[in-house]
Amino acid sequence: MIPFLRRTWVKFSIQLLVIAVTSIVLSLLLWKWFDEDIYVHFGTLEINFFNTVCGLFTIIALLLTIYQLAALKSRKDFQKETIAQTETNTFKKMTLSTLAGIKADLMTIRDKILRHPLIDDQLLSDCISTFYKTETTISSIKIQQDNLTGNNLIDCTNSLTLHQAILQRLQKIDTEKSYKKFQRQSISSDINQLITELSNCESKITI
Amino acid sequence: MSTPDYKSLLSVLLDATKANKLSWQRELTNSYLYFSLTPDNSKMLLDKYFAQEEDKEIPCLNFSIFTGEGKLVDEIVRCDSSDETEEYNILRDLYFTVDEIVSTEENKKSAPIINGITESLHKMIAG
Repeated sequence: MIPFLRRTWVKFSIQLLVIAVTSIVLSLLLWKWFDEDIYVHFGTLEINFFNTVCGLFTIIALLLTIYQLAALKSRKDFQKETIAQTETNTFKKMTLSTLAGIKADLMTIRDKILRHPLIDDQLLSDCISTFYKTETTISSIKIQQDNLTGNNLIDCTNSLTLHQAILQRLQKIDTEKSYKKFQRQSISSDINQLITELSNCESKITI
Repeated sequence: MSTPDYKSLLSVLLDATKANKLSWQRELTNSYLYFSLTPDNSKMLLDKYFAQEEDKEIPCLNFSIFTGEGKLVDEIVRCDSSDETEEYNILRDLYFTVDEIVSTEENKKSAPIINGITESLHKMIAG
């Protein structure tokens, strides 16, 4: 609380100083414009340099107050904005951790594809179940994002398209039982590309 | 890669390998056999594994070509099944030739170490 008050007091003093300096400068300019020897009497009203400075100070201070009041957000708006910001940041943090998990799963299955000595129904079944799991997770990121703000915070469309293409390729081999046509280097290369796409998607998330 | 191109490349590779013009190596982590072509560092890889065909496990050979940056250019998989025996045999000839050369090289490197251990053991028994 005390630092807050101290900060406010400093800000207030600076504003007063700026208004005072601006008023003096403007008064000087006005007096220069209308000749320095201007001196008007309207009965009790007297226009001299000091009064000009005070008048300009009041006008500038009033305008600044009106501007600041207009800019001041209502408490409700502020609360709403803070909640939305917190939800967005939580979503981004959660997505970063989800994407890291998906990448780890994909790396595991890629290594298995490259090193497994036997291409059989068990390996294909493992690959397909991993891809089903990661596809559901990538899709859920989009659904959560749509529910959250409707804004396009994270765009993993390329990853999802590539993901579906690899899954279809694996499903085709599994359905046709054509294990001898399984191109392990090509499939793992596609998985590498998918991991790169997910990293691109990840790098666009800023908290 | 079309079959004629593939056969022609494998035939040249086999000849170059037999003439000891190519330096094949074994990638110990994956048991791949590979060699890198200079100056662009493109890599050719030979790999052996098995694939399920009905209730049998048939041997398969994989021949892949990568660019210097590790990007896959082409991949050929041929298995020892009735419909592709001829193409599998071409790849198998290359694989076994390479495997023999690499194993001979490896034996040459390990022979002094094994001899050293044998001598040490002899000395231990005698002493």
